[in-house]
Amino acid sequence: MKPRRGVIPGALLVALLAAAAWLYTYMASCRQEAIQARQNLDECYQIVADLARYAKQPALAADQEEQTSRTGQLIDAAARQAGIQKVAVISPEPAQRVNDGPYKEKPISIRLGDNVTLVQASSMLSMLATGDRPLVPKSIRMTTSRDDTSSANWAMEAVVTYLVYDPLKPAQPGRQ
Amino acid sequence: MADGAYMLLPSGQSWRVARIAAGQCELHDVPDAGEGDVFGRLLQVLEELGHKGQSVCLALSSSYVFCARLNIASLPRKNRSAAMLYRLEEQLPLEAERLTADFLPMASGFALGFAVETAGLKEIVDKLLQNGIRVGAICPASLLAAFYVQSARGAEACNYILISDEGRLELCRIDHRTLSNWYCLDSSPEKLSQSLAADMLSNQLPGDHPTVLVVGGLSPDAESRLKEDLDAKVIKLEKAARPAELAAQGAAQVLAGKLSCVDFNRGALLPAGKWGPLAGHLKWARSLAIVLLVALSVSLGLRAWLYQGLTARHVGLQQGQYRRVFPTGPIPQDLNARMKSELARVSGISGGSEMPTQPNAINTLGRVIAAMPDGMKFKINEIRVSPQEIILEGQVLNHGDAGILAQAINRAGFFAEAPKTQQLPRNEVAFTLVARLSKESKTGGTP
Repeated sequence: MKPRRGVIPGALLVALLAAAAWLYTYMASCRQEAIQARQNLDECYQIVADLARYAKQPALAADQEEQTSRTGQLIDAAARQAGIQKVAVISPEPAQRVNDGPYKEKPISIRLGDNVTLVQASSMLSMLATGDRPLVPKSIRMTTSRDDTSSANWAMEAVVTYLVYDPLKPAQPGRQ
Repeated sequence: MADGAYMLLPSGQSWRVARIAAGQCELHDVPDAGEGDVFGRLLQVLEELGHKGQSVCLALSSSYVFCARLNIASLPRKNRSAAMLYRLEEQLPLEAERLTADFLPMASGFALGFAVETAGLKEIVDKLLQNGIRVGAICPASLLAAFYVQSARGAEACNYILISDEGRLELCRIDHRTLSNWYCLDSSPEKLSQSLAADMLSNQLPGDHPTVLVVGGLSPDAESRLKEDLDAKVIKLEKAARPAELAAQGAAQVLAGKLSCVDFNRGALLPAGKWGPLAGHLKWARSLAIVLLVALSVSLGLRAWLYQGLTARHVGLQQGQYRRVFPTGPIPQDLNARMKSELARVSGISGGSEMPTQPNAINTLGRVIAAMPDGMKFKINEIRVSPQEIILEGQVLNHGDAGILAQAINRAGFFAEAPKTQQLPRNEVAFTLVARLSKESKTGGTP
């Protein structure tokens, strides 16, 4: 009594072929995952390097709107350093998005009294523009009386601005 | 497709060829006319009978076959066939290495072992193959007949099958529809009766009287002895058929895979296969393919495992980098997306490529003041600097001086329009000067 010859080796061959085919697809998917992981790691290294590079650069924009008290302190400090006794008005205005881009411009109106010199006003605005958190003068208006010949009786109104990085959020589906 | 099945039956110096088609059997004698010529004539007869190359059954006379009852209960399961062969060898006059054997399992730890001497049969099988006759089964002719008869009669039970052919008597004992012994007997009626009685003494029968199924002719004397001495029930086949014809019917069923019989078509007696001399190479190739596939599977599995390790290592390193940037908090699934978002934020704060230029009015004011001509009397009452333009209002001594101021401002890179002037009562001229900022002046501000 004997089993049919060739059945067992044939079945073994077929099973091995099937196993090899399955293992090949499995190995290929593992390989693809490994390649993807390597690419992700390289990209990650690049991102970390870029982050380190940016960390060494000064911040040219805020990541959120500064508190009014902080900008007021900056303006007061610049005025005192320029020899200006007092700042009459500090008035923050609503931030406006610039060119539909990721930045907003935050304006702050400043008005000084009638007794500053051109040098004092320029010095104060220059200091604001070159500080750690720059407040850049966008517009300036300086006036003096037509009959006044003194160089120390100027009144100044200026608008200083700083940028806020606030990218637009992607629109959420289903919401109007 | 080839029609019919064929059985070859060597008998002394001659051969018999049987063709079984549509349930009918034809027997043809092929006498041995000369040395080495019989196989060619066998092929010729087969072709005349319509043989198209299909496998044939080689039916052996019982004189070729050894048979012994074996106790196999104590044999190990591993390499059981080899162990059974060596147990069979103990009861035979030949070494196991010279035998080709087959076994029929029986109840209660016994088996019936059958063996043939390999060398003689191998020579026959090889010569048949050389003449284009491929052997598909090698079975004892008597057992072919007995198994066929038992199979054809279905559930009708008998204790013995007695095969009588050309003066020879063979007795098959059947226990529970399984062959449990096989004898060649003396043909005299007395000996037959005595042999059957001896077998009955050594083996308890399920009934009181033995039932004997007779295949082939049985002499009236022998039949009456069985009935009188042993009170046996003798059954004869309805259709009188010669044992060789029944063996041929059994061979057809064995070749068709419908009947299982003792078969020596194994081991050294296996024909080389339809690929002939290439069969050995093909076997090697098959073995090699199996080994290669195993090696390939192992290799693929190993590579998959290595790739998994690499992936885990890369992910671990990536998580380490993430922790450098975000020391606390959970680690998200998509690390790079989170880190890209952080990079975009830091880049935006530090002044990325999309950062708009902020015109610096203090620089513009400095340039305007620096552009004022020396040695000319004038007074500025109001200065307005906006991102688009500069407006100066003041007083000069005459209308021409206002134009000189405008030219000086133009030289500093502005586009000054012709100033508006107005004579004042005190010999002074009031002017209003509007200058637009050039492109460089607009974009050259401090970011």
